[in-house]
Amino acid sequence: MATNSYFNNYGSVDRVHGEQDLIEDLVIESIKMFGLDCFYIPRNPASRDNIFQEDDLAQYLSAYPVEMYIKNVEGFEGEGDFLSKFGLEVRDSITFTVAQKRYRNAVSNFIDTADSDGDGTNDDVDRGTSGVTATERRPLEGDLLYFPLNKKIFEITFVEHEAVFYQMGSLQTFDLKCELFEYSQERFTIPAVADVLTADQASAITAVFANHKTVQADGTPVVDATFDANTDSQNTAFEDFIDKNNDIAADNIIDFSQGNPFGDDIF
Amino acid sequence: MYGNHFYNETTRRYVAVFGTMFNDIEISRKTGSATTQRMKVPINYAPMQKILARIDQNLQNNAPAITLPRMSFEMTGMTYNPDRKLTSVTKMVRSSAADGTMTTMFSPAPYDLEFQLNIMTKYNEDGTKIVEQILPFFKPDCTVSVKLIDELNTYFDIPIVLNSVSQEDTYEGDFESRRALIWTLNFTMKGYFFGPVSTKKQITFVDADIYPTTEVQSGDSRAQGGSQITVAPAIPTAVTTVSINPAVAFLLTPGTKYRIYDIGGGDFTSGVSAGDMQTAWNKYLTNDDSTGNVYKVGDIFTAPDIVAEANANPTVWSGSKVAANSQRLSTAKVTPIVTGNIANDSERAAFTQTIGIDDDWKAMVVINDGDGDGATTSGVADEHE
Repeated sequence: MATNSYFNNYGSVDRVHGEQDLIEDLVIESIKMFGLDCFYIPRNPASRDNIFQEDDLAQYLSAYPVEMYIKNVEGFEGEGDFLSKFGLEVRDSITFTVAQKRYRNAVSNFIDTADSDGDGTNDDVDRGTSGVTATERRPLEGDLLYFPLNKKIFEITFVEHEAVFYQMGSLQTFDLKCELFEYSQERFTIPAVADVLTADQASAITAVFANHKTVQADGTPVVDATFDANTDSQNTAFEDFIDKNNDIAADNIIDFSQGNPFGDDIF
Repeated sequence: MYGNHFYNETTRRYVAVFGTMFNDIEISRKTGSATTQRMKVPINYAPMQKILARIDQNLQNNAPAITLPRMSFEMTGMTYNPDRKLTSVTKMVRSSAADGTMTTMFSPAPYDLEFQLNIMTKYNEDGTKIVEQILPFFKPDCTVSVKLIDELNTYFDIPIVLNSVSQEDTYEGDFESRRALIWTLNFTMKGYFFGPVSTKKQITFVDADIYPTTEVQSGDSRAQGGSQITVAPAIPTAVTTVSINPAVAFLLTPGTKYRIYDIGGGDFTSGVSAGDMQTAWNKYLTNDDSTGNVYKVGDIFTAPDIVAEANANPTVWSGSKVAANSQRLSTAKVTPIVTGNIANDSERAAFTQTIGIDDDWKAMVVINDGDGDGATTSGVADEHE
């Protein structure tokens, strides 16, 4: 039941390799023509919790420009903007296509050799990808993409490597399924790197969440929150009860005095 | 309703109180033993105007999907609770010293208000960090004192009961669906709703026409023996201040009638005995400390003119003699007695006093000549005083 050797497009003979390389080059060229320069931001784990199986102190310490093709050409997918119990939620999703070869050259090779968090080990070791062969390197879920058109950051939720199914017997692209990033005080410390990332590009990325911080930029703890003014005023509004009808600031309506056995002192 | 417009902002206060309980929760994230991040958890009242939500949180169009962790709460309903019903005719009362008014309100209707607190986090342990700061205070209730009615200036103890805690974690499913970590806490706030506040002026004056007999004598169309009795509040005043100068020491108006409200001397713990007080009263009222009259609470006297007496006989009212008497009588208190005819409101206002909340006071009785026979200052008045 052997396949016809005269029409074998999926073998490993040099003739097929040449055609596969040609297709890969054409894919890369077409992405360079119709794609967009995005910035790949690898996630640097800081403290994995083996009880709850999560890492709540992830850091983002570097960014690498790489061209990508936007697959959903008619706009963002997902549920869009809506009002939930927790205020406005924006559930935009987007699918980027990046050439595998370009990812390895423009991103993965840098991650292999960088020590962004200064802990003495390269980022690929921190990310658990050391020892992965060059042809097996792929984008990781949890890494981020900075989309310069709307200046938003998307999180990779799933990497589909078989979106174009073994064209000429090989895979040329990754499809990156992304959703708009849910921000939870993750730390962005992205410096400019010569020949890789300009100062303007680095500052544009780190500025995205500047107005949403509840901790200082350097990650040091703060007692008085400096997060965005609207949220802060909302928190304060409850205890600074305003007698709206009389247009005056009434006394605080909860009795926290020491003489009150039900007051704050017992807490 | 029933023609009354009122709005006590009670629900608004309950929402503010609930929000205040949870508006200062902070969580921290640690690497080893070192605190790396410490953040305040935002909270907002969940139902909000959509346009404001959009403007507040996405003004520059570059907002993240959502900023977590965050909390929101909403009032989901209210139910009448008959177990906490008070008698309908019971009134709450508050008097105001500032403007001489009395504010009353019928007992409130007890209602259980249901609140739901939602906590959304990106990380599982962020949720437990928040919930664990809430749960210990509810056993199963946490009581706060709340000023619900400004006019009454009274704090009500409002228990807030934590009914249930549940967690939703949509971790299952394909990789393109978002994971939502949401804690839901249901509370019951045992509140009240109040009716309108009624503010009335303090009763400072009572006119009562009392006629011992309704017989009409020939030649007089009015009932005989009619005296008008006026009751007005009287705040006790001190007889003297401590001084060696008679013009300063004695505070009462000479020639005016007063009733003894407090004989003075307190508990006689300051070295002044009951006999000393009687000596002082005798000296004050008879100009002779050996007269031996016994004065008691309720006695009526006419204030003497000590200054005139001192001028007439300086040796009797001078120096330490004045000082000793004024020191003793400074602890005594009297209320004024007014007799005579009240011709108009201004005369009535002249002896009407405003009573403060903490004032100790007695009624001051004024007898008027109701029948015009000129008998108010005679035995009739004395009888009623």
